[in-house]
Amino acid sequence: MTGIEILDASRRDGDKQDPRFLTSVERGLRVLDALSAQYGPMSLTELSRKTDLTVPTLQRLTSTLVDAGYLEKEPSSKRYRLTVKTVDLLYSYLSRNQFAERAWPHLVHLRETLGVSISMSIPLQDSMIYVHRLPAYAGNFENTLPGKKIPLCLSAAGRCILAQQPRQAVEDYLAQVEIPALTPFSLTDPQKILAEIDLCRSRGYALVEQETSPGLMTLACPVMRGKTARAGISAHVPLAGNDAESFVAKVLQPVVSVSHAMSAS
Amino acid sequence: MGSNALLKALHVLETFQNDTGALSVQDMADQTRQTKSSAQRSAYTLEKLGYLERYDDGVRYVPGRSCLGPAYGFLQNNQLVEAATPFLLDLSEKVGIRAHLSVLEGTDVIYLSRIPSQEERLTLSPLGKRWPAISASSGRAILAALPADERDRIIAASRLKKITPQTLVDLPAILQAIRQAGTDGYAFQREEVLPGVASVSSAVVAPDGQVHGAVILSGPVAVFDAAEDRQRLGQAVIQATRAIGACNLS
Repeated sequence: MTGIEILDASRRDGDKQDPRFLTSVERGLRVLDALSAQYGPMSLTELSRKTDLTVPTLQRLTSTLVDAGYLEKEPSSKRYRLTVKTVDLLYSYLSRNQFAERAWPHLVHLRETLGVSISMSIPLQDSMIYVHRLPAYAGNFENTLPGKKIPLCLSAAGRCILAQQPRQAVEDYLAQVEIPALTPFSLTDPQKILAEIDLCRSRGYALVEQETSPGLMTLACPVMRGKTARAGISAHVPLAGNDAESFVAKVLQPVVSVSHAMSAS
Repeated sequence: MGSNALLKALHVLETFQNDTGALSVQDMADQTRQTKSSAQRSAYTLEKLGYLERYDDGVRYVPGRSCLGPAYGFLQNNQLVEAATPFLLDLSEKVGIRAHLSVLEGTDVIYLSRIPSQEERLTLSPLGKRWPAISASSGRAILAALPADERDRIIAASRLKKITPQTLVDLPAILQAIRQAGTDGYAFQREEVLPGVASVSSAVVAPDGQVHGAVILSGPVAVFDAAEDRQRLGQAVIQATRAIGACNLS
């Protein structure tokens, strides 16, 4: 399977001119995307703000998505929410993805060995998307759910992916991509992110503190296929009670050996 | 008025739910009864958006990584999954076999739980897996808890199909299994969906009577062979579903 082409500039502005590209399909899926990124149902006005589409356009798209079974409208609030049919989409991907399937037992083993939260994510456009998430404890059920997206340039796994790309391409990419401040600790200066990616390139892993979630420290290593990184394996711990040095000392080797084992398979 | 192109593209995407392999544009066109050029346009756009990816042969398609996203939006907002997760973990730990959660969707049950555990090293978590409600223990537990008219409607719409040699396909026998689930408070099936695997299930019912889903305990048949073990496991799922049903589900 070929991955999504990372750092492909033509993807960004080429679509509108492309006569083969179906705009209404993109817009409809943008509605699903907006609802996926949000906690709670959304009204047409809220969707309009998130998707940059007009309310009449959204009326047409939501009506199709309701007919197709992916959305339902709450009768009381007139807000839209996603339905269980979205889980079929996830299953259609996971059930035939041998890489994801082979990864799972490695990750289960890693979580047991280290006793920390483990995840695997893959690049998707300007994000990393979680394929597997295995929390160390069940305190928060959200931690178990796949499909969450994290900005590529803030995610530890994403920086591992970027570190495998030519430095100039990464610099150009960072100059034009929007860098959201997810937390007060997120790096938003492209030069500082570039320096982190350089560090990752030289030492083979990325360490991110609190840039995507407050109070969380993440170490990630790339899973390679040939010369490109196809995924990242991450270990996550709360910052409280852990210092970076002993965290790296504890988890680096086991995470490296799992990513090597998966790179070979 | 809806969007025709969007609907056609969603139908193309759904062809992968009736199949296990990679599909060519012609396969998609045949299954959706669209022209090849229409399926081609959908596939082209879906690939650009990451909802389809090329298979190893570079020609056929498989679902892409963007397909993971919408389920996150659904699951993180699902009160049943949220309420049930701690009970599933607790139950798995207490009885030593896996606990799962499923909900009724049409004539199927669909698994919504994803809990890592040691014994699952060899198989991927079943999140998203569907089984016919009339054959799965969780489906029978849900059917037993539903009002009679709704139950009859779902059974009438179901296809009697053998999944394993043990699957009941005789309607009176299925109805008897559902009635038995109603009497016992939990449903039991043995090797009807997977060879070598048996399960017990009980429905999650809110105080207002609404049926939200079911909790399943499944494992090797030997675990369920003795009547007293079956009874103990049945009582354990009943306890869990009572506790989940008492949570504020809407």
